[in-house]
Amino acid sequence: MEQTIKKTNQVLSAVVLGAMYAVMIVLAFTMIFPYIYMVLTTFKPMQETVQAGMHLFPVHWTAEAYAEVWELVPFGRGILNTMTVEIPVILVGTFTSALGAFAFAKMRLPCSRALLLTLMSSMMVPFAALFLPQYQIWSSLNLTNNLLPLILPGLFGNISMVFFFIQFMGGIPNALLEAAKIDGCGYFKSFVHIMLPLLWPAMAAQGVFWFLGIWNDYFAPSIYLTREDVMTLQPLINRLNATQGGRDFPLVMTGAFLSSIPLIAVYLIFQKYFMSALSITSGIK
Amino acid sequence: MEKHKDGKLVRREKITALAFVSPLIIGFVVFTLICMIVSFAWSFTNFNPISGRMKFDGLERYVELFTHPTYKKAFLDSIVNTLFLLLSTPLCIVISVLIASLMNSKKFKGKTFFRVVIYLPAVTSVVAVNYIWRYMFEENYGLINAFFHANIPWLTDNTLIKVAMIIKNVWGGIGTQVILFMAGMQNISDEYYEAAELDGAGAAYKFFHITLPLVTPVLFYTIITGLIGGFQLYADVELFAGGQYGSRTIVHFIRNYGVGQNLYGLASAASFLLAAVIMLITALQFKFSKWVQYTD
Amino acid sequence: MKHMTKIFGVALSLVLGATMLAGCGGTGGSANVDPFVNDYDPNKEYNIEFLGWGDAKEQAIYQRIINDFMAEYPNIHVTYDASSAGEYLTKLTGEINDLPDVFYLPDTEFLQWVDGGHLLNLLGENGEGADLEALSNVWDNAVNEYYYNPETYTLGKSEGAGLFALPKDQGPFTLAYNIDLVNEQIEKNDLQNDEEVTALFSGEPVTWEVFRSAMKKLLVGAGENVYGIPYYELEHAVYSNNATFFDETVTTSTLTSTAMVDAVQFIGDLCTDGITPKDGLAGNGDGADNAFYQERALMTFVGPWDFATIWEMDGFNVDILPVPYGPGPDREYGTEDDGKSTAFIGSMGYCVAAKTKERGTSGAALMLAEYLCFDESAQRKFYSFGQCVPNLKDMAYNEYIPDSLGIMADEGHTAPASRHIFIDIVDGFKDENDKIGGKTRILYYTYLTSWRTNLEDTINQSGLYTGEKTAQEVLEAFEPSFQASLDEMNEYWKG
Repeated sequence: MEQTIKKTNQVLSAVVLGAMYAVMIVLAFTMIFPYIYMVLTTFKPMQETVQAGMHLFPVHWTAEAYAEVWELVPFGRGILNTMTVEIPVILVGTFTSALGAFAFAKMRLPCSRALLLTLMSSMMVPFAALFLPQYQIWSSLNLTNNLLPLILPGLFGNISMVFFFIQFMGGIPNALLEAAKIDGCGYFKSFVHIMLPLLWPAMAAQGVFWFLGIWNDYFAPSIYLTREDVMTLQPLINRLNATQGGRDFPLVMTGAFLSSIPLIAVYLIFQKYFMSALSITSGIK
Repeated sequence: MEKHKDGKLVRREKITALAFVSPLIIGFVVFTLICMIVSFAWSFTNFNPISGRMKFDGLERYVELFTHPTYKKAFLDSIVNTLFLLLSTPLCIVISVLIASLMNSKKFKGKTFFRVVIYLPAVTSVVAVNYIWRYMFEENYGLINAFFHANIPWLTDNTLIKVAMIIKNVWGGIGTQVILFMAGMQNISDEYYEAAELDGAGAAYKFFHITLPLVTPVLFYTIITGLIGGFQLYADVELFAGGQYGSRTIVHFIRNYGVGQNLYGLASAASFLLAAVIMLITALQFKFSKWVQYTD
Repeated sequence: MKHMTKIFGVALSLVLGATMLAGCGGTGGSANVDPFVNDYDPNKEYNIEFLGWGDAKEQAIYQRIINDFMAEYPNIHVTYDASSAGEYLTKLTGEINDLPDVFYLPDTEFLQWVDGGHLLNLLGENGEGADLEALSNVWDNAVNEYYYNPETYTLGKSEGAGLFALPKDQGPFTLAYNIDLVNEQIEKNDLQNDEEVTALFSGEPVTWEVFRSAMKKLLVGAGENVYGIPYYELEHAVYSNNATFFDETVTTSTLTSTAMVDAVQFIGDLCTDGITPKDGLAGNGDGADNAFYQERALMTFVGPWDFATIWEMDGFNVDILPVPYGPGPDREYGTEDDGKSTAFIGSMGYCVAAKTKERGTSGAALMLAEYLCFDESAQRKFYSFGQCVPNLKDMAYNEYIPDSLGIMADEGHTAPASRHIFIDIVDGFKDENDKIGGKTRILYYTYLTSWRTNLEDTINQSGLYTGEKTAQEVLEAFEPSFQASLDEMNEYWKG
């Protein structure tokens, strides 16, 4: 009797598991499909993309678009410029965000809710309304065609990141910090020695998100930067498609595809990293 | 005496806390607040940077948004469209929570693979994503219509365009959210589940009584950032919908009728009205955030 | 209550003060017609900035031409920057207090910019300003567009007007047809000797009635999703019916005049006839172009720049046609007020910033603008690149139409066989017998631009295309809103 129940349970869970995999495989296919489509488009001659309708595979395979992108866009320069923005912003900005979040989540901060909401208001006013004064400030400092307008604001933290860290820190028991207080640890020390290690997974995840955000940022860079030697990757790539008449899809898709390769690489590296970081956290608990 | 000492400690803590948030405050004041004030001031004028005119007009611009024959309909329609498109936020969250809990189950192998795949859309540039989806929704040759052997005018119908945008945005949004929810779920100690299993709890019970409550901080984060982002949808309108009438959002209105025409008074008024609504909603969510559970 | 208003007032003035301090007040100038003073000294070194837009290929062409310019004038160093077309005006607005020496400006924006005093008058005394003799070889309409008299608020050449830009190109926008698809339909339906169909493709303008009837015949058996034309341009219908949107002073709406109503009704009729699709691909960006390239439309509207794409498509043969014309206000053909085949033309100007006066770079900036506008070798490079027709009349007639230098043939492609129609359009109406011409797009005449989007949205959403509403009803309903827009624009402009 017990045997049969166990058996039906096993069968049942096998069915459930099968269904789970089926759902996930369909989902994975949906997620990956547009990407495959993009890559295949890069190998099509332009004519096929505007004229022949929607073939998934190129009728005539060609790598023309790659040669053209290579010729038209100084890719290496673009990556270098983008990294010049990324590295200081991610390193310093993540730290300032975490420090700020620590004060919000674990310390007695006067009017903390009002303050947090005020800071968050910067996310709520559309950029379109702020861009003109912002541009004019940078322009009056003669800092257009310069990477500083993209770097400086980031160094002071990222409010959406702060908000996430506050939520994350809420899940970290106060007792851990209380113990440090008794030890006579200063707040900064307890932040660095206790909070930061616990925050790693959240920092890695948010760091990756921010990295992607900066990498794919288009609007602000395309307005501040008009010279090829200072351009970050996205405005550079958009130059492949800058006119209204421009409809060279393979060219645009090749640009997009090439620019996403480093991203995928970064993600794959960090993927392993914050998986292990996550397991460390659960180990502590 | 004792009390006084404590007060001193508390004050020290408060000052230190302020010091910790000071970079955030300085950045906010220098890079955002000043511009916000300037822009807010413009909303009471007819400022046009090209003609250089600026006249104080009181609340005129705010009134115009709802009464001016040229802007009224466009503005009100953009509000309706934006609200419709906000549906993608809850949809995205529900789907992401389900997928994350699926992927988090111990029996599920191949987490790494699926995680990478699910996250692909988030790694692809916005421009490329929008172009590809536009292609796929194309009425006559698009792969979606070809797949269903249908001739659905996704890109030209005022309602279907919004449905298409929601589908696309859910697709683009779940990658990030699944990862966030998985991170939240992995922080849940196994003991909870083991204890529940001993009590004979089923999968549904475990999901609703253990998993869900314990990821409420992530849920709160995704709802708030989802709504803030959803209210500010813009790139999709241009890149994916090609400015189709039924797709135009509030921020599209601001860009198109305000900034595009150099009517910065009008653009600012609409922006601050929008910001006020988002702020109100966010503040209310904070106020009623008791459902968010933290360990401890 | 009084207190409150006072506090509010003080706070506001403080903020406004801050606004000014932040440098956001704009220059607040007004158009200045002081004669151009040439500050160029061949023995001095100049550094000037030129801002444009375009994709990487177009930028490469510009850089080559600018290099030629710098080789000719080694003491002038030009820094050429370009943003994308989409972000261009936003960027330019950001630089409003410190504009580049030379920059593009679309004619649709011209009125605001000239009114704001940002553009330098290029007319000088004693031959100091723009070279008027050379300009007389540039299309008249293109040059006249950029005259403006701020005293009388008059656009175009007039007594006391200044010249505030030089034309970049005249991009005529006209009908194009898919040669093979049309021939296929002609054969299928035995239309080889059909009078109306022959007239339509004769290169001479036809009436709206002939156009509709010929298209209907051509579309027989073409397939469910094949249309005559994906959409119809509003201005082409209005201009070609001798109709107007507003009176000459741009103050009173004429939307409900018979000629205007008929023009819009013509567009509606095309839809109910099945010549254009009912879901109004108009305003749907690439939708219309795709339909044409995917051979789902016999015709579409093109400008010379579209041929850069068409050339890359092997076996896709396209030629151009003049647009059809309507009967005019009296609704009868053969009378004096008949419409004429009128395409809209639109150009961009090369402007010289008013600020160059302070910088002492006015002369050098004008030299660059002139070089780009009418230097022969520069113009030759531009048209061989395939984006535009030449600015120079003699080059257009003697070189571009016959391709006498074989430049286009060398590049492995050729402009459309009937490219003389492009030239006919930009050359305007020379005399009463000239049946084909062009007129500047309507937004050039108005201070703000949202009314046009509004009108188009209203028409697209109204049910005109399905026959539920007539043009009369749609325009009557829209007129109050349009009049309010005109009033608002005039308040901005003249108020």
